[in-house]
Amino acid sequence: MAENPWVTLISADGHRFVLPRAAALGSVLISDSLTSGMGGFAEAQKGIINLEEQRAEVVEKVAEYLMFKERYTNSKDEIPEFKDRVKPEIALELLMASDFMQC
Amino acid sequence: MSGPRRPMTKGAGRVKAPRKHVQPLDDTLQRVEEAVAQIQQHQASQLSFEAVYRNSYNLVLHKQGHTLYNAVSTLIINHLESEARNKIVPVFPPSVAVSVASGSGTQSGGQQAAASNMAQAEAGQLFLDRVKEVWDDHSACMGKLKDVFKYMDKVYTGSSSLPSTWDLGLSLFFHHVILFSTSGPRPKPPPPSRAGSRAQPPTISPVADPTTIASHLINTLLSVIRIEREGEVVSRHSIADVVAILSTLTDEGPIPLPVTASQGTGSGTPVLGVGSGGGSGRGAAVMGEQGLIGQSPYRTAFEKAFLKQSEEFYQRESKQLLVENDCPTFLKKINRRLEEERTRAQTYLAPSTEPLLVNLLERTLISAHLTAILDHPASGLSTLIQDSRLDDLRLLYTLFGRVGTGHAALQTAVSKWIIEIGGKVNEGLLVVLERGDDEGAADPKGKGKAREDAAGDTDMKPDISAVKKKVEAPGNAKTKAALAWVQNVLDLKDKFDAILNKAFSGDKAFEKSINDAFSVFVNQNTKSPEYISLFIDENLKKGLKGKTEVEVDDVLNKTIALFRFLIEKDHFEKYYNSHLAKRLISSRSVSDDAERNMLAKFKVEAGAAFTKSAEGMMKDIKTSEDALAEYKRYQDRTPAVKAPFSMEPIVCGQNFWPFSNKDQICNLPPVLLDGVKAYEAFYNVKHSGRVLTFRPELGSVDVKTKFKARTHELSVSTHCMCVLALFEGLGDDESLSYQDIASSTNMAAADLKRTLQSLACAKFKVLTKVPKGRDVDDTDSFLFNSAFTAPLAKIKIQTVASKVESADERRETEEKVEEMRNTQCDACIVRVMKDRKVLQHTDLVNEVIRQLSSRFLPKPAMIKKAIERMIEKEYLERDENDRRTLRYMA
Repeated sequence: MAENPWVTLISADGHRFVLPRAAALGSVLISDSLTSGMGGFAEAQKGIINLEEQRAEVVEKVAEYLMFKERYTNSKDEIPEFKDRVKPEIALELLMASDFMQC
Repeated sequence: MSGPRRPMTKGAGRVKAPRKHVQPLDDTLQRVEEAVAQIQQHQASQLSFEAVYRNSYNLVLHKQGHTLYNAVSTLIINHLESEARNKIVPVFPPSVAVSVASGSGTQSGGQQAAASNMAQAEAGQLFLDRVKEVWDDHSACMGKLKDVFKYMDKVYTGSSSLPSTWDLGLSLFFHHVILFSTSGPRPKPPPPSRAGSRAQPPTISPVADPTTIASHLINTLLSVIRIEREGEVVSRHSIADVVAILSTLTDEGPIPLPVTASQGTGSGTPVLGVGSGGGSGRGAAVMGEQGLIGQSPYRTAFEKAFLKQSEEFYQRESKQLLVENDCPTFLKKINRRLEEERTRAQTYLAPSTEPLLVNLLERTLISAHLTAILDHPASGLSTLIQDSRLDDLRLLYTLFGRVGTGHAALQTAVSKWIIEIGGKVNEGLLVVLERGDDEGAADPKGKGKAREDAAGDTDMKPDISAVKKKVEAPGNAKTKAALAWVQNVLDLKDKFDAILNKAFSGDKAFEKSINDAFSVFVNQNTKSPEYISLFIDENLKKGLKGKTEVEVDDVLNKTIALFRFLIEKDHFEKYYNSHLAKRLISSRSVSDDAERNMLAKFKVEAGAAFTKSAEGMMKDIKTSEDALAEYKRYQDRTPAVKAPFSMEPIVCGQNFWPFSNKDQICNLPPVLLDGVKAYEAFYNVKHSGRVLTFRPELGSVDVKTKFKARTHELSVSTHCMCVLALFEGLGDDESLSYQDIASSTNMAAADLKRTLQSLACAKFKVLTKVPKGRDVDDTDSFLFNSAFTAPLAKIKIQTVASKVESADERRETEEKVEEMRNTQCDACIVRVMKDRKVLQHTDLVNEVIRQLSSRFLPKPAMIKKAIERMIEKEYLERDENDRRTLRYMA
């Protein structure tokens, strides 16, 4: 069974964010939900993860961060500041999300 | 948290607080419980990971970590216990307990036992596989739970000093499956009141309690392994799996459940009191031996029992094997067992067991039987060495090398064998010599008989030939014995070289013990220096036995090895020089090169001093040859001084050549004297002030002698020639009495008798002795045997001489050696003292012994005497204050 190269994140308000699997695995929650027990959970079967407590705005930022993380991890390029891209209004909420998703 | 830095939320904009959790917690907990149950039922695929995770996350976030922990624990416990009861207990192997109770003593063969073994193995395997199945199930389940509760592990369990979810799973499996007892909930979790106290060790060990899974598990493992050892095929991976399970678990007290609420998530006081930190606080092993903390039940319970069983098994087996098999087979079987056990340990036992098991096997299989193997009556070490069974010896060496004292014991045994056989070689020599002596003892009888015959009968040819043979026998027999001895020792040495290189892998320690052993027996034989020298003599003589030069060289190289064993090297030097002198004088040496080669070898072994005399002799020979050539030219130039015969004198410096001065110089026939004078005249012109002493006993002469049948050219010693010269011009029937000959030649009685014997009694009878007989008496008289015939024109008449020394000669040699040793001692003392000036007596003795030991082993008494001598001669003096201190007097 070929592995789905894409992972879909669905926010509490129903927005879908599709990002490359490699980048998505940067979150421990996502990686566990996809791989735990040899793909034993529902998420692994469909490659879709419902984030039922996260708003689309936050999920978007998380997805952006995961892409950002993948881009600069193990990279020799200079790493730009991510905080410049975060709106203060969602900062705390994003912090909570990052704790929840372990990324 | 990893990767690029987190966004910082300090900014100008408003910061919104995240939404509060609204779901009722009871509901959340219930959902989690349902999810866990679903996972245990293999229905994870219908669950949303995110949902379970989120629920547990929220519980932890809202300080309900302990509730979650307790709930999960209870769920797992219930599940495991039902698994144990429903899956494992029904497949308990039936007779395991019985067979183990009888100490796995049902080993003795027999069809019935084999059949029951098979049945037992199958039942055991079923049981083991079932345990494994439950374990796999459990660990798969725990793997998922671990991920789901990752947040709990991260935030709650770690900071509360609780085992993480995964470790919780291990501990629960240990306590609720392995320690599961059909007789009741023996390992029940301690009540909350006892939380934190040390787990009470059960009054009876779970392993000994036949109602527990643990006891069945251990016993099944042991019996399956025993069955495999007895030669049946069992499923190794079943064992490996269960061993792996036991190794993964930790044998310690249960986690005190349920845990109580702590203050706040993650940062609360530890739930476990009494200052316990982490899992180790739960106390010592409950399953296996007490005292081992934090070890796997494999270590605490199984390993010990396994090793004990192995020891018993192999003690019995090795005893039996030793009785049933000869030594090499025993070794091979042992070796195979070792291999088997090592593979076994590697295939399905924990890595920690292998060294223990191997060690145990070495102890029970090898160490315990060291002497039994070595002294095996029919096929012990002696037989192996005797037959040069290199492969078996190599195995012996390898196996014995595994245990500490093995090599030492083997070395001792090998040394003992060498010395014993060496003793036999020495004795063998003695036997040959005795035989020679016997012949000598029998000789008077023969002689007497010959005399009787001579008196009574004139036709006595057969008797003469018989006597003749006997005449030759003693000397040759002795030489042969010497050669045989050396050859035997060399063969022995070859044998051990092969054994050392091929079986003992050139082990230096073995090399040393073998060499030491050789040294012991070589030096036990007091004649060995002479024998070795004789052996070399024999090989360096011209054209002997048709050996090629390479072969001879090879033999001589080996002989050098024997030379190394000698302690009394100066003795050897004496003999070697005398043999060399004889070779050189009679120019029988193979070649100059060969001799020099040999000397070079000695030089390497024993230093320049050792070969000084020998080299001097070689040089003398060379000088003599040059002088001779010059002498010949000189004679050609001045015909007036030309001698009536050609003479080849060898001028030997007295200090190099091992000839004793003899007072009695025999009278040379006038014709020879002319030659002597001529050469003296020539030599004095060249080197004035030197005195030439002619030693006719060492020379040889070719004489043309006319017999009735034909003229023969006789090659005889100068002594013989002197005697023959007396017969010149005598008529056929004119005889000379022994006395006449003695007075005319002025030869020493012993020399003369030998000379006459070789002329009248040996192979070629140029003279006829009256009366006939083997020995020459003072009353005998001699006739020239003009009827002598021989097939060859040129005949060499050997002087009868025993090559091996007679007792007198030996004494003489020993005296000489002793004298030389004293001189060396003196010289050495002076050398040392000159260097040190002041030295303690004992230090001096030690130093001298050290310096001289390359040549011989001086006795302290001898050195003491030498020191006294030196004091007398005023080389040394005693210190006036301290009598033990010696001072060198310049």
